[in-house]
Amino acid sequence: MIMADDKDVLRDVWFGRIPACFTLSPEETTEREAEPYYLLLPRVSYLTLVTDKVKKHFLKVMKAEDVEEMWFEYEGTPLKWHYPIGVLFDLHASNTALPWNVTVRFKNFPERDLLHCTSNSVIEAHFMSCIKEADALKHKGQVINDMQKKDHKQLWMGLQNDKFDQFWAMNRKLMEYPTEEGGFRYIPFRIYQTMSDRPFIQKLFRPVSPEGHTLTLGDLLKELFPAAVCAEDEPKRFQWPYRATVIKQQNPVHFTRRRCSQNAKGDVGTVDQCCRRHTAESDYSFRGIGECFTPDRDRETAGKTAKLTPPPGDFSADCS
Amino acid sequence: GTDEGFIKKTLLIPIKSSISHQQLGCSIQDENMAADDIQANVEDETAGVQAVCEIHAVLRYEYHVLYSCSYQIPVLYFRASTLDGRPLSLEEVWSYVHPNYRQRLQQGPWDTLTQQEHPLLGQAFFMLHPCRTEEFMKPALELAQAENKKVNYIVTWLSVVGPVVGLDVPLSYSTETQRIRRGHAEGLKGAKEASEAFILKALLKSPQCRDTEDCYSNISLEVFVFSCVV
Repeated sequence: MIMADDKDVLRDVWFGRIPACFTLSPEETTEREAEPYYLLLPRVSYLTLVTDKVKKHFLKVMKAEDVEEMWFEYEGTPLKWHYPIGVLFDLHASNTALPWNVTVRFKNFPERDLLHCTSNSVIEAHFMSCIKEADALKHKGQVINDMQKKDHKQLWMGLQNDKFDQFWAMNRKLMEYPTEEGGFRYIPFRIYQTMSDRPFIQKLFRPVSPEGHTLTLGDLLKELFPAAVCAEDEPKRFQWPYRATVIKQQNPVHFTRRRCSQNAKGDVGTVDQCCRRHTAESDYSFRGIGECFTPDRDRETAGKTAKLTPPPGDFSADCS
Repeated sequence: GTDEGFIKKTLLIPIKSSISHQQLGCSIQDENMAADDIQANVEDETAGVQAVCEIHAVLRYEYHVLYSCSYQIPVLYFRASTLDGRPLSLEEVWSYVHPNYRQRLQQGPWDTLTQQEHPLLGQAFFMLHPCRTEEFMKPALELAQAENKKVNYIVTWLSVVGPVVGLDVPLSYSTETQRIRRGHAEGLKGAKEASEAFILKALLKSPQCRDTEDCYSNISLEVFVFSCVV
């Protein structure tokens, strides 16, 4: 059962946003100069799912023959659209000042590195296959296979249309933790990293030890990524910019699972091998086209990404 | 080395427009060929090389076999490019899937042949979806069991999924692995055990290359140990 206080965390995770500024690459050919486009990106969604407006905006200044499949890069690195936006940001830009400056490209698609995304059904297929893999680990696939096609569709539509309740009406079934049967068979998680060729670490991990103890996130890290865990008195060597929630190491892992997995996948977070502290964002405002936003005054402590509340409606003129 | 890795095979496949005899898996079928012609070729596995060989292009296929911990079965990843390095699109790859298999696969293309990130290399590959594996492995394993034959899971699996995407598994591979693995009883082990059980290094020459050295490169197959990767 999902408890009341968990619901707050679930909402925090779902509604987490990253302010981004999209700029057309100088390598693209335009008929006239392109203004940057501002957008609040949902952490739980995918770049290609939420950037139709970005595409429309830049197509206005380009000729059709100069436009191929749109893709994104950050400081020269192609951004993998099939990673959740929050993971991409944490991996590449969590220590830089907001907004996240993303470059838009329409040519020279990096075929070796990026998957093609020619329609929303490609994103849906990818998303559903992640859900299925996670359920294969949690429940041997029984829950997802028992759900009807329309239930799968509702899960996807909930994500696509940013409908928390619609999504969780279905996702709660996938998050069922039957304690009498030992809970999840294995915890579905991936540890993303930037410092090696290998894109992520994913291994089998049971939530309960052979002696019957419920294991925590700390136990998982100790076993599978020991370099990230240090003793109490050592200075923190790694940063865990984990979604919008501070994860305490003594929480049982299955709690972590519910809190973190807006899509039942449970990306644990990213490891950034720099010894930098999470700095508090200073006040800022934006001028320009797109969504306008100002920082939420009630920002939580370091470890949480600043929550930004956009003013109602879109602004197309200067705003502050 | 580590305890993780993958099996990799690179194959050069010529594209021809006029074909007489073709060995399945080492060639691209002309789409205009009559259905019964294709059928005859499929059964005629020892036909050898084609008599006529008009090369218009050569493609480079790279196959990786990994093991999925989530589904506990082997998974086939592959990518294809022209010799000058241009990667093939999903559509182009589809067009080279043998017509016999294409219809069955096309029931749900998103479920079976999709573009995926290689879990170790982080690069774009095509992947044969693992969900149907048990479906087609079961009859093959049961048959072998009924006939009291020893079965190497990986070779059997590869010989079923491979040809679908142009990867031929010559009979000699099976013999070769048996010879090298002398002393190991295979039986009907599970995929994980089978894949962890052997360390091989085998260089095989495909029988197709005998007569048309200029059409094909020698196909080499180097097999490394692989265990639970994803």
